[in-house]
Amino acid sequence: MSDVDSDGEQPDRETGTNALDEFRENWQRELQEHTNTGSKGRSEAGDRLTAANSNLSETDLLQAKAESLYRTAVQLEQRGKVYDALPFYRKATQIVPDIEFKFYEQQKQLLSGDVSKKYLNLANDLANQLDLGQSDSTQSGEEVVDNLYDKFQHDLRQENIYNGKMIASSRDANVLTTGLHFADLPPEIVMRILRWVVSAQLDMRSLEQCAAVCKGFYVYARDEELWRLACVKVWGHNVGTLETQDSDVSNVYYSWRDMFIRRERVLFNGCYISKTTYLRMGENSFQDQFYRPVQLVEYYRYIRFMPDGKVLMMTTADEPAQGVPKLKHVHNVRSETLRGRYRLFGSTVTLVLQKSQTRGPAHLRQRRGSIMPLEEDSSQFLIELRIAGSTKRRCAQLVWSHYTLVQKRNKVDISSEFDLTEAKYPPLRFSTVKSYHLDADAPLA
Amino acid sequence: MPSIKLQSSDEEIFDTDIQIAKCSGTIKTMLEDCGMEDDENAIVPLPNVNSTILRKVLTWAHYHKDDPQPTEDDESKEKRTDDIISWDADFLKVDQGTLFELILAANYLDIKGLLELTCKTVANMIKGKTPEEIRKTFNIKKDFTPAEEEQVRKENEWCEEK
Repeated sequence: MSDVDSDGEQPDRETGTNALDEFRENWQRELQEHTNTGSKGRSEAGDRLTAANSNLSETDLLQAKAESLYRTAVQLEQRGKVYDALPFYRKATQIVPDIEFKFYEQQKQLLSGDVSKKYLNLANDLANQLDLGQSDSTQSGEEVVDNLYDKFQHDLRQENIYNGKMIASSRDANVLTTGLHFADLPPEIVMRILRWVVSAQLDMRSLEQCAAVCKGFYVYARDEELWRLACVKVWGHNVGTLETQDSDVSNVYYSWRDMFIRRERVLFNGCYISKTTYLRMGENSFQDQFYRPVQLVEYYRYIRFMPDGKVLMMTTADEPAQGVPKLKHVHNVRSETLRGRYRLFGSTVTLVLQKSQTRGPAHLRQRRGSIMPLEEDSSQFLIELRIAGSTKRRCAQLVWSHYTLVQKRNKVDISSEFDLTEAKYPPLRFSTVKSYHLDADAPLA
Repeated sequence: MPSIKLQSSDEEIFDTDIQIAKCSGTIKTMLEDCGMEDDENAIVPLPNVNSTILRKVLTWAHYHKDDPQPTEDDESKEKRTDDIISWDADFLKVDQGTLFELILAANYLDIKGLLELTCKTVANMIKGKTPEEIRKTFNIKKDFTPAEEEQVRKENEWCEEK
């Protein structure tokens, strides 16, 4: 070995463990064989050049070795053999001091799937050569714990790691800091913060992101009370209990979270959009009897549900890029927007809508092809939609089942059904809108 | 105007308007239960709050002393003028440690408005972030094994945007 990488080599030599040397020899032998058979390398030089030929520098070699040691240690530790794992960790860090981070980066890349397989394979091969005295069938990542909540709670009770706190700090323990850490907040405060995270908008996605932060956050974010409150918000009085559900479906939910995920509902972090396109015959021209214009009518319908039972519906020619932001502010909606309330019954959602009466009818623009009939002050729109899933996502489609307009004229209710043809009333599809849930409005209560 | 003396943990005395001090539920109860209201020289010890934080809290209380009591009407929520919101935003331009100390002080002193404001601020630092971003923001160590992390990811798959 030359002195090119003496930094990395030295500690290795000092420890001089048999396993390591043996392992290195095996490894280099294998590498050599590989390059000899593979690329007809100009193998005048020794091992190192061969390695260079296969695009592997000495540092890569070392890192691969350290990585395989580290991986071995991780596997051992996962089997509960902490003491056995320790020497491997030590060796790995002696070769590459920051192997922990590099290993983590690798894992991350591996998960995101765009890993340069260059030395992952190498490390795997190396790991295989290290006899662990156990079958390799139990690979890391395949053992599934039934209940992570219980496991994490158990883990968090380990005093030596967590000191009675729920969250471990990543700050360097040797650097003196005076500022408080998230872990210094008492549980009731953390729960209060999480209620703000979920907020009245029921931003459960952000809560789930919290659960993936660390064990402590997981335990907080899986708190049943949070999920129960969310369910009560969604289904109101009909929420029922975990066992007895909607009369027609006898579902049993394992938890409130399970109910929130599986039970039919409308989605809140965006809006439902449909696009209607049809051809409409125009008026005969006065001068030319043979010319009949045909008009292409195209418009969008937007429905946004709020967790507090409110709903907004807008029919407009605006494309989503312009249309979606118009439903962002719940309190000052435009005059063409219908607003009202909705309720969930099993897999249907019923809406009762009215025109916003902030401005007089003079402001309502008549749009060609608009199906919103008549500017009548006391008209109500009754809509029933069926909640359906899409291939990608639950509850992401709404299919029309009833649409009635009730008008009050001279104290008499006149109701008229709309003809729900597929062409004019295509199903509404859900799109996520990030800006709707950017800031918390009020805590979940 | 009647005033009262508040003593921070580092034994600094704050001469405070009694009306402002009373936005703290803890101090209010203390004053009423102990009949200290008429005693000009009474000192209220606050052993859980240091002077830096107490000064901040009192600044906040002073600015918000004329706030109307929160109502359930959601129209009025909208009318909350923007300059109060931006004042609060400026007020909370502090480092994370101070923000957490403010939370603890608001909790101890039982100042609901400040507690909600600070908790909301932390929540908005969390909302919309990825787990890794949250860890970075708050210096939180990832203590999952790769297998556990993967399992959590699977459990959370239902809300992933595709």
